[in-house]
Amino acid sequence: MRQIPDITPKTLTLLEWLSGTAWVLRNEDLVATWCNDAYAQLAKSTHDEVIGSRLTDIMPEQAARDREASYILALSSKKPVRSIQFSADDRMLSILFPIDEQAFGYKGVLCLIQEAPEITEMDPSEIDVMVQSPVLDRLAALSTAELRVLYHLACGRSTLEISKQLFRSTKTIENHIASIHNKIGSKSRGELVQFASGRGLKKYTPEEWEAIITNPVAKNYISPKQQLPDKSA
Amino acid sequence: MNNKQRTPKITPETLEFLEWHLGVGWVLRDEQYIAKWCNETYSRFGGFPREKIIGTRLSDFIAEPAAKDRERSYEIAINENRPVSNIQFNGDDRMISTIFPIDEESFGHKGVLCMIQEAPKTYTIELDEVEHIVKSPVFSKLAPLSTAELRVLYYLASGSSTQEISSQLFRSMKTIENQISSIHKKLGTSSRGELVKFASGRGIERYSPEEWESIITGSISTFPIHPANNEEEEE
Repeated sequence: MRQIPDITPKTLTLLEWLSGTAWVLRNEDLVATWCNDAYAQLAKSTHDEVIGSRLTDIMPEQAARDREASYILALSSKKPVRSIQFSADDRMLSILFPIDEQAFGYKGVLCLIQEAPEITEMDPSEIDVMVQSPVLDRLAALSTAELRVLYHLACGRSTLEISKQLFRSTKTIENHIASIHNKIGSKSRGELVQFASGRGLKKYTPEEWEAIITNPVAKNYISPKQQLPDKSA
Repeated sequence: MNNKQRTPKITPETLEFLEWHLGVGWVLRDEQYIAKWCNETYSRFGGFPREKIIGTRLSDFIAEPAAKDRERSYEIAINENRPVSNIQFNGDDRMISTIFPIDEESFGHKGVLCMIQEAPKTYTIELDEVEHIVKSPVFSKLAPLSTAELRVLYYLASGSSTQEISSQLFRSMKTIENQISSIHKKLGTSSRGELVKFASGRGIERYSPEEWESIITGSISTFPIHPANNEEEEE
């Protein structure tokens, strides 16, 4: 069994060095008090912009609420909470650790967010929460039908196979693919498959992916830059 | 503010925290680079249960030159008492590794704590954070491929068409087509889409063409890194 780890300010000095995994510390009000470089990069912001911001400042209200629910669970259960979510066009793993209140002088949660690993499958029993509402970036331009096609492209399927899976003519699928090319800016099938398969889409079951793309939040997204907290207000 | 100048203090408590770090492999090695502890993910990368990893050195799993190449970073971390990062190609995937010297006093010996993970695909790690690109790769499924085929694979991973590959490599379309069908046979893929998916899931395209060239012409070792984990096919 894993021990509940003691998260202290010393822990953060290690995390400063992890350039492949994003870490952010939030206080009891879920306001960011610290983050590492990778987190700022993921949030397309500077450190200064991240500090003092909340999740609602960078994503739609419902998506933020969904993610905050895991924070609240970590705070109340005093145990780490592991979740899978679709954020920034990628399937992400997030682990939330309650921090040592005494060492920090306040209650809070240390949050890890990283691309869910592809080659080492995670044991589904290790995941506590599947977050439903996605945060889309470039994929926000795609229609629901196109996002459905994208899933099958990510799985490496041919146009014919996709047409059978989705009960649509190959002509319709070809039209969807042409429209996806337009929106994503890809030119060849290979480039598109590469784009799609780098995002871990295929690790979702068809049902899970369907639930994600039909979530109301999927169509209600403004890019992070436009949503940064208005400091002048 | 960036605080990377501070070398973190790695103590036994750090390991309790890293037990929870799913998806990222962590291993502790002593001064002789013998594994003393690892987390669950590291054991999955290796394809062996933890008790089989404790007490081993890298050279028990991969060829001596590849092990030496990776241990060079351990040496710098211990001698200069600072973290060292590198990029390496392991088990058919582009990985980033950061090596931290451990706190000698609390462990009772010198050593290193090594982090290894799939290099992120959706954003780029600043190259100045990486001290060296480890040249000797460890191949698993890619091992049967010829150097010419590995060259073609790079362009497939980058999403190039047969025509584009042929003009990049100065070979006829026919030659490239033959190489692609040979790759299909060796990897067990049946469509172009499936092959591109296989190739691009590995971060190969993140290398520059020159880096990839030096990797595939370097000292290649092979190992069934995750035998129990042959990418399952979806129905």
